[in-house]
Amino acid sequence: MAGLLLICAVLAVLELDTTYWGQVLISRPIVVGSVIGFLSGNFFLGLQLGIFTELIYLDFMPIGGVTPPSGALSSGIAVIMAQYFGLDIYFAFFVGIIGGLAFSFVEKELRRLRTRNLPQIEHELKTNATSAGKVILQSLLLQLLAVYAFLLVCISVIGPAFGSISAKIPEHLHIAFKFSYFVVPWIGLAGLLLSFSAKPKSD
Amino acid sequence: MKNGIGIYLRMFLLQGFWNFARLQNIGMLYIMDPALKRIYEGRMPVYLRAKSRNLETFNSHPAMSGYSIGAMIKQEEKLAEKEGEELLEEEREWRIIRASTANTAASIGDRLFWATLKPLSLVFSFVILFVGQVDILQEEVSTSQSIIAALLALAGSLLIYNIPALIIKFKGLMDSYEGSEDNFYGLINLNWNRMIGFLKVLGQILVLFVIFYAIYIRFRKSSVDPESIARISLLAAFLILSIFMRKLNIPNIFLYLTATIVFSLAAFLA
Amino acid sequence: MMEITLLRIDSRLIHGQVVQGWLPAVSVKEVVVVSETASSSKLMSKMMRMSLPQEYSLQIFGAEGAARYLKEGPSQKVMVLVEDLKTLFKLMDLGLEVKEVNIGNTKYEDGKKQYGQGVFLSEEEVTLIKQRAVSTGASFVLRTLPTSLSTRLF
Repeated sequence: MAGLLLICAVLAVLELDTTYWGQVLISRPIVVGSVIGFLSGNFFLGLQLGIFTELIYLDFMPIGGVTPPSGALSSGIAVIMAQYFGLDIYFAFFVGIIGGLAFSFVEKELRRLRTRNLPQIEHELKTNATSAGKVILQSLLLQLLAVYAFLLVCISVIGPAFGSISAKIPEHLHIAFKFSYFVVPWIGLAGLLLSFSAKPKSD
Repeated sequence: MKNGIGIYLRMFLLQGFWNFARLQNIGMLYIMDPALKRIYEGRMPVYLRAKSRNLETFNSHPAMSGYSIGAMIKQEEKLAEKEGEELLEEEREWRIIRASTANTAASIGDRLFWATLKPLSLVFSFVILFVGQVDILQEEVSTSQSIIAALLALAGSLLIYNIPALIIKFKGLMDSYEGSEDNFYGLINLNWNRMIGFLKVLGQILVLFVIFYAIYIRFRKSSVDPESIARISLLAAFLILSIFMRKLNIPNIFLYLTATIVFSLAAFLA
Repeated sequence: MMEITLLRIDSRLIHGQVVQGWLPAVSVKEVVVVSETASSSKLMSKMMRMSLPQEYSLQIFGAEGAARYLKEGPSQKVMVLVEDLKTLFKLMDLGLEVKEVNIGNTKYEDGKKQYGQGVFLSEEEVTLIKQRAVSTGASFVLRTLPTSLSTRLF
């Protein structure tokens, strides 16, 4: 359990790179999947889940401040589900995707919270009552804690719940989820091809 | 520029307090603060006025923001010498320069980094994996594959994006500080459209290679039987469906979720 | 008369969401920017041209020039970017027929309420939008990107 808590901490730190610190892409799913895969004992499983997640997330770009779902958390959660809760890779991938989508609601709330606090913080900055560095540090810590809390819910509630039913999942659901997992790279590769063509459409 | 490296390092926290109302404004103040303290040393009221000004809305692309930040430090140096009506006039100009450089840099940055270099670096990772014979698309994940190739693919996914990103971040800061309206605050020093155009063509060629090679390795061992034909047809159908969904502006993630639900229902009924 | 494929209020005018999000999704070859600030600033105009990929043409006007151009310009599909609500209402007063307005981004000011990801409106602005929607039949929607869900305000 201590190992898993540490892995969640690493995942939360990597997630910060998505928006708040760095943007050097250590939060991209291929990297997060591989790192969490390595830490949890199966690097190649993490690499595959990371690549598949990244392919399916290609449509989401953080342009102009939109709040996309978290690819970092999707890939990280998927690896955790597969490695710690015994889910087959195709179920783990699905849970990861749902986790990333769910986190976008948490993320929106965190952004709203910062927006609500903004007038007060701006006032303090304008009067030299605080410094921008201090404000950012506090905000990063809050963000980190929120991501970590989200992951704790995943590993203490969602993971065990899925883990307990995984052996009872009917065979036809295995086939269905395996099938849809099988098509993910092809959906993604088509998207990848389109991402390189952005010419205006004709009238 | 004084303390250029310090300002460059602070730029990694541009989005540290991202908010819906004024976007990157707190991060921008954090980056500008050392320069403001230097410029307005011993002049508290004007320093506080400068802080207020720098808390106005700011939004740019993280890797391209240097093209605005350098220009704004230069503008602050000019503002420090103004008073009264001249100061108000210069502040109006300051707002125009800030919005123009930030938006132009953001627009170029979104196209170059998010829409081109990021997917291109993923394509390069695929190429490295294929060259290293790491079959990442197989259904059963094998752990006895080339770890070196996998690590190189990971490094590629980071370096192909970050080498240009980190250089442009620094170059933007320096060029815009030295720049002027005549050279668009350094933005015309690079031919962005040509760069993006070239990278997009390169991306198209490589991704076509990846698709065909992926199909080859996925089905090279398959015999011509109904199951293989059904699998290839399914794959082709999803390739086309994915393109169609893109035209309808529906993200692929929903295509995957829909496919999962449809397959589950079909499996129940079969 | 020009055909408006997308009319969007966006205080940032040309930026990533427009160039990378909307332009590939709508069938236009020209963008018309309606902004008194941009039309009177050489720097803003030049920078805006640089923001836009070469394949697209760009026209920048104040409200009066834009209303005239959109009514009398060549028959083609265009995307119209309007700086703020005030400019949009001016365009409508000058006789521009509008079917749908996408409110993409408005400037934040203290006291304004958040309606969308980057949309902040005062009570007075909401009332004015409602009045316009009723009097002209135009719908006002909130939609950040083509891939985002569209929410009808009025």
